[in-house]
Amino acid sequence: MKRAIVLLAGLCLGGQVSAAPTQQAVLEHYADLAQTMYQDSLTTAKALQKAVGTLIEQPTDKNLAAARAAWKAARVPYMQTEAYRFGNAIVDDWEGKVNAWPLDEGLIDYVDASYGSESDENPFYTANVIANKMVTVGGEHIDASKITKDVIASLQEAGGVEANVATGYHAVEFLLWGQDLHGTGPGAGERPVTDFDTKKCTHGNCDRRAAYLKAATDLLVDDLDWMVKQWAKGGEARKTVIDGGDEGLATILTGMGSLSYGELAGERMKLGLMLHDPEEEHDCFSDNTHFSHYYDALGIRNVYTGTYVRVDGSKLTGPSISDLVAAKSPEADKALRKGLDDTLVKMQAIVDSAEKKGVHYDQLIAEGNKEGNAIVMAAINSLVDQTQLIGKAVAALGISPIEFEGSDSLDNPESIGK
Amino acid sequence: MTIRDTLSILLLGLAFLSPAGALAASPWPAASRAIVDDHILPRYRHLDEAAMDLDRHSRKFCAAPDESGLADIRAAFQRMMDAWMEIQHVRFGPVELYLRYNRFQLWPDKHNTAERQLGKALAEQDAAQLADDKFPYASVALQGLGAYERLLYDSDTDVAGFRAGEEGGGYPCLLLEAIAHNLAQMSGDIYREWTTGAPSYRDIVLEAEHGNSYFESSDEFSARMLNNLYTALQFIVDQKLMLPLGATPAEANPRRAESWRSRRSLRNILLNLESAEALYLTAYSSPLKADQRNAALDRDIRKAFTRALEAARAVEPPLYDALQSEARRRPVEGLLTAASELKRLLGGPLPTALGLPLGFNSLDGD
Repeated sequence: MKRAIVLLAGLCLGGQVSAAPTQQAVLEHYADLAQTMYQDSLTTAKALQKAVGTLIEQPTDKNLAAARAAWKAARVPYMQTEAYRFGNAIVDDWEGKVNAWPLDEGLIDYVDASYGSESDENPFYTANVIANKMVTVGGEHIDASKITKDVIASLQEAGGVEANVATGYHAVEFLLWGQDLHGTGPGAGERPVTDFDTKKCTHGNCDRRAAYLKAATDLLVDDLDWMVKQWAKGGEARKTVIDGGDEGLATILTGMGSLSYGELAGERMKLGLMLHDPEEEHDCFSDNTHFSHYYDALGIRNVYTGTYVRVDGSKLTGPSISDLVAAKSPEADKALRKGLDDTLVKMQAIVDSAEKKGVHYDQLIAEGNKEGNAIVMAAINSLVDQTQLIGKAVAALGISPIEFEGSDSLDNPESIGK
Repeated sequence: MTIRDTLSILLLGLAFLSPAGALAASPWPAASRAIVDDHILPRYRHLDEAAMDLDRHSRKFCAAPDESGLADIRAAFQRMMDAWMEIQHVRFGPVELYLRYNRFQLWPDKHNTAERQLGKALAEQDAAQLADDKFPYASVALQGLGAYERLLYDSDTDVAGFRAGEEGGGYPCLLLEAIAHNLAQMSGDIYREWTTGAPSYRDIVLEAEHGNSYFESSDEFSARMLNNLYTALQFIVDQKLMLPLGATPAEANPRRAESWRSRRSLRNILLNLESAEALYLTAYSSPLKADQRNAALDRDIRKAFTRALEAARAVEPPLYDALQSEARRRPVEGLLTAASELKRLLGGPLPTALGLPLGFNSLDGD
């Protein structure tokens, strides 16, 4: 009965509907955007690979600074791709290799005593592969006598523990910056360049550390290259979306909603805020978290509006799911666009705090920093609000309900404590 | 990767299903009332009593720490955990305000935060941080049942550690008292906010029948609790069982079990299952079987609850030891199978048959 009514309503609105692009055009542009964003991620990762090569050849402060700058630049396009992660199974299954977080960095290299020596969750908590050529835990042996792409890939999620992140951006980040030992105070990781200097080596095993950094960066480039191919013409990810019909549209909205809600608002922001814990900061070694969150939010808007500004400054636009929503419900489209803009304003405040005032994300979530906590909380609330608006857009398209990826205690965020 | 794999896009097309016939009266106003009055409120009352009891015993123990007092607060802690496990599945209402759910319990603690923060707190011994107006704003990893358990059951726990000097307790005791007091405060607030105030949460749920600013109808609250019911099974299967189990005894990681220090992981699961069954019978069984076509599904779900409970009772506790023994793991695997089947029924066939959307997934995340 209800189905008939919905169809009739569709017919009555026929004039308006024809103004919107076809569903197929929207899905194809969504795939084009993905291909372009992953291509930009690959290009900037190759620049990082080159900078890392120079650093290993000539370990100077200047070359370390250049490698760090290249890492930060590589994050800009990649974070915007995260709106593709949830919903596209091919991306979600792959994503852990390049951006898994948080990590127990004691798996990889030396750590400060404050890190602790054991974890309920992770028997590899202090395995330190750079210092140990053989790692054995719970009957599992890993031969790391030579550190290669294969070896570090085999260490990923060792023991089935997600915190064993051996590859990807955050492993590279840890190697370039080292642990941030400033807690919730100012300052990032301060790894000395001599950690990579085989002649004046600090903290031992500099050759193995350099080998690890090279392997991790090479593997990152390989993995991104693979993902670009999945979105190219004939690629698996592209085919799944453009042949998906209504499910393709659901994929777009699931990706937006799940990243907004469970992942960004929940795991990456709320958890750190309620623990007041700098370890819960997404880019905790480099103190680059403000940009990481900002570009996630921008990526969500890109996907909705079908727009992306490339790293070379050129702009890509095309038919979007926003057009489809607007054809069915101009109010739902307008509200969601406003919601996405509002979130970017809140994220900009977090960026400004770091870039203009030098107060970084880890300082904002510190215990007792009421003003800082409020800035972060405002962004969280805005993300939760935009998730509700995404739900309404889903309803407007008549493809509900979708299960968004969520997180504990996010459904009704209030001020902290009482 | 396992948690990511559970991400599901549910395109159930529920909007087009009409469960009880378009003209029959909605069962959800009555079900909503039953959920609040017969399921939620008695359990929060019990939680409040257990928390006040823990508060009292903690103060008594810390006035003069001795062996019998330690046994006494361990017993009070066990009773408190029982009460929490009976209501752990409810993630709606006052418990989600002010981060209370996480302040009660932070688990799983994926990044080992409790270990680091508790170690730091015990080293710094900052008593000022424990004041009533400060402690609720401290890290959630210090505030809840997990921190209390560590203080009572860590391998190096002994009575001497709680003594300061000639009389009274030292810093660990002050922390115990602060946690217990904070839990009692929150439990009391949760019960009060459910029952009093204008409007109380009970009012909000009951008035949903005619729509209000929280809910468009009673369907929405019933759907919300259905989500909590499903999440309870997801929590049991994906986190309480699969995280510690591993593929073989050598790969088992018993420290990833909930409450492994106090060796009550299995009891937690049993109490969770009993509460989940009670919620199902209170709210969803009757509306389901009211439609003749769904009578078989109701029978299947009730049978699946019985099987899961039997499977939980068939495991010889503690789970910590059972996981590491080839022979004793089999019943654990049986429990996992039974609970997974129940989870499947509650997550797919049940919401479809009832015409209630499952909504946001509250467990997944990176």
